[in-house]
Amino acid sequence: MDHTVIDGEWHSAESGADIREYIADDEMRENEEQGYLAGPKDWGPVQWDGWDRSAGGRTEINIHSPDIKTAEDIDPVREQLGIDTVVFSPGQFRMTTIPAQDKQVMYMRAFNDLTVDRFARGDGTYYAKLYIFGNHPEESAEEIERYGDEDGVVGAMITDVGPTYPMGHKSYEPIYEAAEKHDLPIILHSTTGIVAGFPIAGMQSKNFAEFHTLAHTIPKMWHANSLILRGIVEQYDVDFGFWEGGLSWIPALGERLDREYLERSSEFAELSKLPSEYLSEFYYGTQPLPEEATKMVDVVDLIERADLEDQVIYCSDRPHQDFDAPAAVNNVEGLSDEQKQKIFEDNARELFGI
Amino acid sequence: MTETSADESALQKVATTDELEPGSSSVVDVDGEQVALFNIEGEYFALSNVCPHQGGPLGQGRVEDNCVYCPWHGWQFDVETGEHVQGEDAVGTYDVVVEDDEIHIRL
Repeated sequence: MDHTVIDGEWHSAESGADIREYIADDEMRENEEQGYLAGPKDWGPVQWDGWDRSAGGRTEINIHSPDIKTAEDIDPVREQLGIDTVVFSPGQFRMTTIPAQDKQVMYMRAFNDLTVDRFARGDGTYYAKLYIFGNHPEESAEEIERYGDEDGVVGAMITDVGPTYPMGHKSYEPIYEAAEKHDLPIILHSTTGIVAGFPIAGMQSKNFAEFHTLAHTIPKMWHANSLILRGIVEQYDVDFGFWEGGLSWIPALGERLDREYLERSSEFAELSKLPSEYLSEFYYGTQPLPEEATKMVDVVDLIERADLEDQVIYCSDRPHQDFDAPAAVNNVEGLSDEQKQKIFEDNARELFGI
Repeated sequence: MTETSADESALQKVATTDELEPGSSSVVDVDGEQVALFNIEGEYFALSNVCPHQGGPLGQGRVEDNCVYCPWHGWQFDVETGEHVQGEDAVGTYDVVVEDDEIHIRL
C-alpha cells in the first residue's frame, strides 16, 4: 500500500554568505562581507571541515547543494522520491565551528531569519526547524520566543556536538522553558564538522569512515543519558527527537542506564519509571536504518521490544551523502503496514503538530 | 557482456553503437524496465538501472575496473555479473548482442 510520506529531515543548503545576507545590523553585515579574505567567500566564518564525503567522487550527492535556496527548489527531487511533506532541518548546522564566540549568536539569529523567510512555509508541504545553540541557551530561548508561533516553524534543532555540557545540565533550562511554552520539540542532530568539543576532538580518526561511524551515535548517548539521569524528562513537558543516529544505540544505553539506576538510584533525579522507559518516549529519526546485510540488528524486534512504534519518524537526510530514500523503510522485512503508516506519517504529525 | 551471435527472437534493439561511445553510458526504457547500458573499452554491458539498495540510478554511476558505483550511496557492482562486490545484493544483468552496429539486449 502506498503511504503519504512526511520526511522529518531534509536539510536546507545555505552557505555562510547566504546567512550573512540576513545579519540585521548593517555595519556588522558589511564587516562580515569583507572580513574573510583568506577563505572561500561562500563560507565566511563557518569552517569547511575537509572531509571527503563522496569516496573519491564515486557518489554524487552534494551536502551543500547550492541550488537549494528556497523550499520549492527541492520540488523535483522530493516528487521523484515520493515524499509529500518535508520538515526542513538547518543545513549549515556546523555553525558551532564559528571560532569567534561573539559572532555565534548573530549568525544564529540571521540563520533563523533565513529559515523563516525561505523554508518554513506552513503550507502543508514545507515546514522547518529553528536553529539553536547549546552554548547560548538564553539567546536560543529568545529565538524560540521570537519564532515559536510562526506558521511553518515546528521544532528547534540543536547541534549536539560542540556544546560544553550534556543536555541535562541546568544551563539549558531556558531552552526547555521556551520549548514547553511554545510546544516545540527539540531535535538533536550531530555534525561531522570539526568541532572543538566532545566527542569530536578526541576521536583522532584516520579517515571519514572511522569518524562517521561514531560521530552521530556517541553524542546521542551522551545527551540522552544526561536528560534522563538529571530528570529533565520529568521536569519539562518537552518532546525530544534524536536524529541521524539511527536506532541501534537505544537498547545499549537503556541497558546501562537501568543497571546504574537499580544499583544507585540516589545518584539519579527523582524518576517515576525505569530510565529505559524514558527512551521509549523520545522520538527517533529513521536515518540511517540498518542495512539488511547487518544481520545482528532486527529493526522490527527493536521497535517492538523498545516500544517505539509511535516514536520512529522517517527521515531522508537529503541532500546528504548517506540519505535514505523511503525505500529504506519499505525494505525492512517484517514491518506491518500499520507500522509503516506510523513511521511515514502519523508519528511526524504527532511530534510536529502538522 | 557482448555476444556476437544470437537467437533473434528474444532480442530487443536498444541503441546503435555510435550512440554509445567507449567510456559512456545511457539509460533506456525496455517495456517499462529501466536498463543501464555501458560501453567499457568497446565492450557493452547492460544492467538494471535500479540499484537494489534504495533504487539509485546505476546508469549515472561512475565506472572503474569493470564495476559501476551507484551515485547515491556508492554501492559497487560488477557490470558483467551484477554482483555487489561487498555484499549479497546483486543487480539484474542482460546479455548484449551487437549486430550491424546495432546494440540489442536479450530479454
